[in-house]
Amino acid sequence: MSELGFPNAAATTTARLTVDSIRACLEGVVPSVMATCDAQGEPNVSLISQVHYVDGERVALSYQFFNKTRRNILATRAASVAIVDPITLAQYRLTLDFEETQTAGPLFESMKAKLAGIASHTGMEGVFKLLGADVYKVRRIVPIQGSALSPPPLTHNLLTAARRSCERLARCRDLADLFDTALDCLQERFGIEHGMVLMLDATTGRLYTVASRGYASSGIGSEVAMGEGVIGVAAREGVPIRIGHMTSEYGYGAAIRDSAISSGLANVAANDIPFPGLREPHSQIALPIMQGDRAIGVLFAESREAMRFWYEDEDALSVVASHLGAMARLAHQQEEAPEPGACPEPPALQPERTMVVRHYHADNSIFLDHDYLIKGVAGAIFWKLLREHAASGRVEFTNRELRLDPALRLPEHAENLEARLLLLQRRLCERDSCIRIVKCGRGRFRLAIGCELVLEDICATAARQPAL
Amino acid sequence: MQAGDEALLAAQCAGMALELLEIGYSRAFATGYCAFSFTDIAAVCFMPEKVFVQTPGPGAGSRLLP
Repeated sequence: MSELGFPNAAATTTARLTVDSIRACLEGVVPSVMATCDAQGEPNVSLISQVHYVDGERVALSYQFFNKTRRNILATRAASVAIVDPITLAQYRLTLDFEETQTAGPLFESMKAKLAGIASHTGMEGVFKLLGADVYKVRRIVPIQGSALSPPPLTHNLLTAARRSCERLARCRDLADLFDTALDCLQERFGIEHGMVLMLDATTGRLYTVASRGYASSGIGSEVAMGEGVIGVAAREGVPIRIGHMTSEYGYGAAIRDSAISSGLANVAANDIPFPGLREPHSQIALPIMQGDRAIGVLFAESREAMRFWYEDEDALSVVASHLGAMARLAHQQEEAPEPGACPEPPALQPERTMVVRHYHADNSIFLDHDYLIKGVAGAIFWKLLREHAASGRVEFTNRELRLDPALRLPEHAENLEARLLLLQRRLCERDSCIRIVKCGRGRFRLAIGCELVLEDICATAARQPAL
Repeated sequence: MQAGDEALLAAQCAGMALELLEIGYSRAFATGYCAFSFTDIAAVCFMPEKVFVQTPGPGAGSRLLP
């Protein structure tokens, strides 16, 4: 520190370079040059597509082929890599000591996704395949002499964006508010126009959309399988997944339908809510929403622009996703202690209207006048509410009684329940049905029915027939 | 360096910059990446003894034999 207490500029510029200092070089924008030699000292130089950031002291290189480079590394465990900053064109030479090869796990998966984007960008889709993530300790980083451009002025500060977003999330009252606020913050603080929040159903191993922004249709209720696309991989591995160029390898859609068809459900076509994502996303990022060491959901953003998300974006958005996870847990705990509050107005009565509500036992799917509404846990909840209402006229319920109801068989980690109720609530609004679920204070809600209902329960064998 | 080398070098680098533009790099990046200073240039005459495969892939780094 200088005499005035400011960091000493001279000391900063001469400080030892770490991997953190050169992270922009590791985005895969410019291929890097790697030099190795064999046991006899014969050199080998090759271009490599990926030098990946691991931590302040480590990088990982993509192992794609068993070639000369690979043999040399295994023989000498040493390499040298020249990298370029894609913004300033500053170049650096890294001296590396080989540590290990990882063939699975978070590091491997994030490199695999990034490589898929790079491969597609360079016409190598299907050729580049990650066999392993080779982790190296960085022994030395030396700037290569040459002219470098000054970095452009900072237009927005990602740390400030993360801070403001967390402040807003901290003021949210419930899950619905949290999800909507997170997406508002993505738009307002990060300038990200297309985003979604998906929650994980631990029993089915699928993620379902609970909130979205920037799409023609909301896609609320649409599902992504664990391990599918950047969203499914982020949830499975508990690690952010980021792609800077369009690639079909991480697309959505077909796999969802295929898995539904193979599971033997007859009404598959009718209850497939389309995933709302961009048709041609050039950049995608999926941040797991963690609670402890497990992902409970995913915060997802995408853009039509290539290389929209960099390491700094990933860090800042991870903070937001992490805060979202903590606040979701708090919201869940609060819902456990019901407290009455104001009820919004239910929809207007339409006494002349009659609606047929059909429930299929096979997958708890619900159809309103032949239109698909919802399935699974949320479908089972909805059916229970309607039956109770039909039997006793009851309209007020608590989250807690649903959680304790053995017939619903809710999973143990049942913060899922609030997300399921929210999904149900939103689907009912979107379908413009005469049924609404309105929150009445903490952990309580009201079933508001504005028309005559006819309930039809379809048993398992009958469900083999399509509903439409 | 010999007479005419500078013009050849400039043409090569301009061509490279154009290719970078074509595959989507920005103009600032392409021109900066291909920039050089004539004072830094030296010519090296050499005779290859061994030749190796440079195309990325399984054969990269293997020796090419006549």
